[in-house]
Amino acid sequence: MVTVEAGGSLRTRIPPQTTLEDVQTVGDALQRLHLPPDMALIIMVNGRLAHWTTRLNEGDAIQLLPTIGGG
Amino acid sequence: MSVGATWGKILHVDLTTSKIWTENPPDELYLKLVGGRALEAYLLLRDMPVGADPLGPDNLLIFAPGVFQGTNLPGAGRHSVGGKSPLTGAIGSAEAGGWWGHEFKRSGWDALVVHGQAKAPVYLWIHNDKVEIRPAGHLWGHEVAEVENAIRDELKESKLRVAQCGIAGENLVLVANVINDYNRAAGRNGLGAVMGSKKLKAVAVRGAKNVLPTDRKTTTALAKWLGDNYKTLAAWAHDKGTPGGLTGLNASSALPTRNFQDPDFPDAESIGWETLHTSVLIGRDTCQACPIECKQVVSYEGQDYPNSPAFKTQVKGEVTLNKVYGGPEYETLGAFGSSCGVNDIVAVSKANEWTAAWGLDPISTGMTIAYVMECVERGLLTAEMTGGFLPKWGSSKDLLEAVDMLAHRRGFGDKMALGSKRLAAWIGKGAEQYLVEVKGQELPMHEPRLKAALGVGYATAPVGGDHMMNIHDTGYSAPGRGLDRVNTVYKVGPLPPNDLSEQKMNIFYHEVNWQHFQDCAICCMFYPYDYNQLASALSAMTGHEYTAQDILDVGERAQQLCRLFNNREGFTEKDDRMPKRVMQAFETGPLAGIEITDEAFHNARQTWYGLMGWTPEGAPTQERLAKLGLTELLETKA
Repeated sequence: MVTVEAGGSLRTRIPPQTTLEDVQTVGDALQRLHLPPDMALIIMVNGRLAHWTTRLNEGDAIQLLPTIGGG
Repeated sequence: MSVGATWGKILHVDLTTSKIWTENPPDELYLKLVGGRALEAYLLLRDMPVGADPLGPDNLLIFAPGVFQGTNLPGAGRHSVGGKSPLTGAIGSAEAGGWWGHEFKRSGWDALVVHGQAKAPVYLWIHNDKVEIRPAGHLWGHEVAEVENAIRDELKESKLRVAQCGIAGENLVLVANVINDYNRAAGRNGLGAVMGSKKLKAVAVRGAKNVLPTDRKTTTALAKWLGDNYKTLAAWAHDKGTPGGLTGLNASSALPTRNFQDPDFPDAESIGWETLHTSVLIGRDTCQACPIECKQVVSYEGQDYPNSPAFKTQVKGEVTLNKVYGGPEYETLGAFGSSCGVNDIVAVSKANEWTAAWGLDPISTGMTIAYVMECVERGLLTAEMTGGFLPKWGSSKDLLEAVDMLAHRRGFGDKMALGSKRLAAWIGKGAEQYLVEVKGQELPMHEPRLKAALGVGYATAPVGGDHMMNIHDTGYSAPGRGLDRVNTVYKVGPLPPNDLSEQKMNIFYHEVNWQHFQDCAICCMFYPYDYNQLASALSAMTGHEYTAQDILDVGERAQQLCRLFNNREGFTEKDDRMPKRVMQAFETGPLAGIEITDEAFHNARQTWYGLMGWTPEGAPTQERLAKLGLTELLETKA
């Protein structure tokens, strides 16, 4: 089991916390969520920068943080 | 005219001689360059003498909309301003939102090129075909809103629009912006000082000519698609705007803090969206024909905010906030807030207000002050050197005093007005090692240790460190609009944000061309359009067929021309470098241990040079220029 936690303004777009079973990589996990297409995302696993192909272990916590590209 | 949505007319004004003339460019120029940045670079190469003093009469100040301006295409409420930058010595090219560009294009001109220098302050009044040079001595020294209101009253035209240099530009502050519509800025490259050097206080415009696309059915359908989808596809901009991502960036060590030194700003909540919208925020604002309304509007009269738990201020009862100057965006919250260690939303908003009222660039102003704070802390700046002004991290009052001094060049502000790089040279004693700039332009609020290709973009952007003519690697780390867009011409899947592989640099190549294209046709980069949609819009506007690759070629032409200009002005590949500080790993936090090595940076930069068809020394080749159809245009004389 892994958890996915949405941070900041992403919390209004997907559930703040989701629990998932049988996922091997970050990509597996995130494909099960309906990620908003307009947001650039920072992906962390257990508080460290991660990415789409990062392999997951039982109990891992994925944190998703929204970011922007201008302003 | 056989290029739709253009007039075939460029307006030239020489302020030394008061001569006014019209240029009728060939269709080829519009079809290849489209407007904006590519046109600015072309005109600078053609009409500015090599090595001209940016603050002298030989520099040009160019106001350039693109093909999209003057129409009702959503996202086209923008224009570009260009010239040789006094901050960097390279090309300056900056875009601003608002209504000025729309109004100017509707006056019947495709661009305005200002030459020379007036002896006394003047302003231009462009009312359709009528162009007047009018005295502006009575406007000199006044704040932006006073100047815009005075011009409206004087000309008895309530619907005119004004672009102006601000007090900072008058004072030749090298980080001065050109302000339009009270609170919008053509920012970064010090073009406000170019305007001030020409003693051109303002350009007032009013147009009543309809700019018509060749094929209105297609542009109307695109506008309808945008209207139907922006609440989903641009939700981040509509719901919260740029401040919405600030606390998330801090949680990943990517909110620049104390001059890019720290991996965490403990008081990020106090300058984040939640605090902004539960305290000083009173509304949102927008640009011409834009439903997204991403801009912030703030006001403050000294009240308390019991429902805003992280709200803090050190200046209660000392300052108020004037809503006419809008409100702070993410860049401003970072530059005056976390970069200076300031957790005070009122003080940060006040500093932002002054940047609009006086015509300053918030990023370079904030980062120059952050640099001063660091040099004070390290003992490199002493009271003897600064006239007793020793600003400290986190002090709201020091921040506001520094902005005031810098804009008016009062006391030590005279040195700060030159930007951090020149300040470092004046300080000496190794102070340059703490600089965070490229080509003399201070870095904006995005962290290369998170977004590695963005760091390469900082190094290689023609205007110096810039985040808009750049990519943000986090937009390609999961499926979404970023990857969908680039997959039109280059197939690639999600890549880590700190990756600098050949695949990432291919994304960088295409997407940076896309960004430059949007600064030529001129469309807001916050819009969710893709390559095919804007290719179809450009085809419909002009009546000439463009593919996705064709519009990317327009963006590349802009970059090739900018590079030719910069190389001509003495820049080399040695100037395409990253500040050391943002290549070195943090010791703690989510990005701990992540560095950008010299080798990784060098390889990525050289990969991109190769994709641009440049030599290993970063010089454009005749072969690529010919392939892009630039050879003949470059042989044209004025």
